[in-house]
Amino acid sequence: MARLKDDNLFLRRGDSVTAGKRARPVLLLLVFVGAGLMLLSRLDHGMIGDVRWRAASWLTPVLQGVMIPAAPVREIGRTISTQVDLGNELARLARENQKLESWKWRAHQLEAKVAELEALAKVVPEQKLDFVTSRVIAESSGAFVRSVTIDAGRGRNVKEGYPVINADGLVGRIVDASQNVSRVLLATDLNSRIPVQIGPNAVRGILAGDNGPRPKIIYVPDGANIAVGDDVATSGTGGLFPAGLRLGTVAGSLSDPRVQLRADVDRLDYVSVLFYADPFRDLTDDLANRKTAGEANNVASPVFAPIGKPK
Amino acid sequence: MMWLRFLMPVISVVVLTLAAVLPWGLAAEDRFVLPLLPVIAIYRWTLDADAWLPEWVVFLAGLTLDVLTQGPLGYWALVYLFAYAVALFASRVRIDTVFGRMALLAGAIGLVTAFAWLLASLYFLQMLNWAPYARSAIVAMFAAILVVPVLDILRSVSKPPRGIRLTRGSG
Repeated sequence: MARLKDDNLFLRRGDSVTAGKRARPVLLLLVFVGAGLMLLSRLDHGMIGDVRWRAASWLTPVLQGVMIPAAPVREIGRTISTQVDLGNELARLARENQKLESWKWRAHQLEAKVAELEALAKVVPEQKLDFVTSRVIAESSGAFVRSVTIDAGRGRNVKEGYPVINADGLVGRIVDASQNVSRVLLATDLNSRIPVQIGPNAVRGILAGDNGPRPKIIYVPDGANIAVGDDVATSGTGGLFPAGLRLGTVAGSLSDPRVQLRADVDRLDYVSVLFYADPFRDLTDDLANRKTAGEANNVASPVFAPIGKPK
Repeated sequence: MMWLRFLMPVISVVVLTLAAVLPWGLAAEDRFVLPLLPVIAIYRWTLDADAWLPEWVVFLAGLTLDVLTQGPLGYWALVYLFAYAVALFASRVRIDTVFGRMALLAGAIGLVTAFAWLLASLYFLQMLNWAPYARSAIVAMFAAILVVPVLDILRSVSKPPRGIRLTRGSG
């Protein structure tokens, strides 16, 4: 007589099976597929990035839908945390307000003086930056990356490389843009590098993220005069970011200077994308075009043909 | 409501996976607890012999999380498959007390978190800071006290009334 498998031929629905489920060969297959994908990601295979970003774009409407019921929950959480910090926050704001009142008057004076001097020196006016404000719909803050996804893409003229700010300062920059969504690489990300100027002496350095809450400052010249509490802003070097976007203040020790960001990158709601086109890109494009045209001329024009070249 | 019963495990895993990428306003180092919530659901439903949660759904849930978090593809897929394998093993351990079952779940969360840390360290070829992982595992263990009863409610709601109908056992 055939032995009944696990003696459980007849069971009522809901009864537990002591023997439990069994692993199937497909589990091993999926493990191999997962390991393979991870290896391709490690090798930074181009196909992986493309597929991932396309899939993320498809999933955006789902995320936007899920955001609707999640928003009230998030609001409650924020209200609770605000209530807890309310006393400290009011004291801090009162101190800051007192300080800002005196600075306001000073700023008006300096503004008028700068405008006067610029008019005298016929300074080229600064580029006026247009921007678009967008909502954060997803966050990714694991061991690998610090980025957020926003619901504005190429359809709203957002392009890769554009700086992203909020009311407190620079947040990061756009690294991927599809039709409706974009990915913002935060200043805290391991791959983020931002040219900065530090303190009243405008000491140059690079703000390098390390996936921690406070990015570090690297490539500071030896003997540079910086101090804890100095303001840190973008320097504009390299043309990736406009100069003067505030980032935060120097924190930690001067042997390993770090920056306490003004923007709370863990609690981003709305961010603004600045339509800042790299001015050097036009220049390099222009130079490249000229070079190409010159090479083309060399080929086409017999004037520049090398003498004595064998036919 | 047969379809609801059939799809409830999948729906709960998908919902928890999507919730893991929403901007909840948590600090970056504390966010690691969110992807551990689907681990609780995977564990719970895998223990349930009646629940339909095949391996490929677990794999796809992990892959979706990889896509949405912009991490390396396959990372969360492997972690969730590991959680599935741990649950398969746990389903063979017979524990009758609630406390014992919760302790087993806590152990599974700890094991899965350790695996996630090890895999991330292997990816970067350096030992990562284990503290955020350990903290998240502890928070996830406490979160399980809330999540498991919710999953049990979903199970009882979607379950057909008990009768004397006999069905063929799957073993």
